[in-house]
Amino acid sequence: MDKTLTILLNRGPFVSEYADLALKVAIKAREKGYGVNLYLYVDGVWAPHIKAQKPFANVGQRLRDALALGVNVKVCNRCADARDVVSGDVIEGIPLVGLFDFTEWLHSSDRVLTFTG
Amino acid sequence: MKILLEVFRNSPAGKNCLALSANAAQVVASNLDKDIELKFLPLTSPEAEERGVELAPALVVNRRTLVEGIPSAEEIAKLIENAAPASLGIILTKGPQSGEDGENALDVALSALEMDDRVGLFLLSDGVWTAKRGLPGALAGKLNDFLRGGGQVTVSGEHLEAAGLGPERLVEGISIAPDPYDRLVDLVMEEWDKVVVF
Repeated sequence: MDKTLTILLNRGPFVSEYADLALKVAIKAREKGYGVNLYLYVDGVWAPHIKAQKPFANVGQRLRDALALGVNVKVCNRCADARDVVSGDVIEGIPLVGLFDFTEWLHSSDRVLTFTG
Repeated sequence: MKILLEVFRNSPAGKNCLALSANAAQVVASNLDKDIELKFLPLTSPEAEERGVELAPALVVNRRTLVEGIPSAEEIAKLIENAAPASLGIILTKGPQSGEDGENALDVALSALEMDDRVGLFLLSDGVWTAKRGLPGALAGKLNDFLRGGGQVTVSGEHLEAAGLGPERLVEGISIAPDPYDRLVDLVMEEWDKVVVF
């Protein structure tokens, strides 16, 4: 199974369910053997800012689980810059990149899901 | 698979309109094994307005692909191939009280059904409220039209439970996905050609 799914997430954690939905779909698709890309755009850049362990279910933990499974995660660098989020603020292994990385994923993916709220 | 070719012509039909008509007729004649319906329509017809045809000659394939000018028989054959019905997936994450998204999603779904596409609607998150029986307003009617028109509706079991909605409180004809993400990934990756999220 070599199909690829790209997910665009525009919403931050806790404000709505979208970050959780995006991560749950990403993890399930990866578990089922698909290639999965997750692009964190606009307020989605807050998701990898949750780095510390929490005593409750949270998007940061889901994101670490997704990375461990091999989901490719990238953060929009301009969205991060606008929020004063720097590379040291996000979970290790997630690069801050330009929007062209997302368009490349669009071109190379079989399906795209947008969680934009 | 039924194919509808509509040739829009001036009245009386000029040289160019007749040339397109001949090309379309040639495609029908050389594809007798296919179920092709060929219609010649004037620019003043309601069909022309519905398809957005403003200039003649023009050809519309399966109500969805509009080409102005005189495509050749080979080009028309290619257009038929590309205008084949698809399988469309719509994921609705908003409830009936969250603005127009529910109605917009169902408008898209109903339009796609009209064009012979296969359409699936997946109700996720607050979208599950759309399936509640006895909802007032236009949304319930559109959902009913969608189901009667052959649309497939799947609802997330996880979110039904969170909303306290049992199966007995849902519109009939809807399937519940106990593991919604598993079902959704199968639909998105294997069953639907295109997906839109509302």
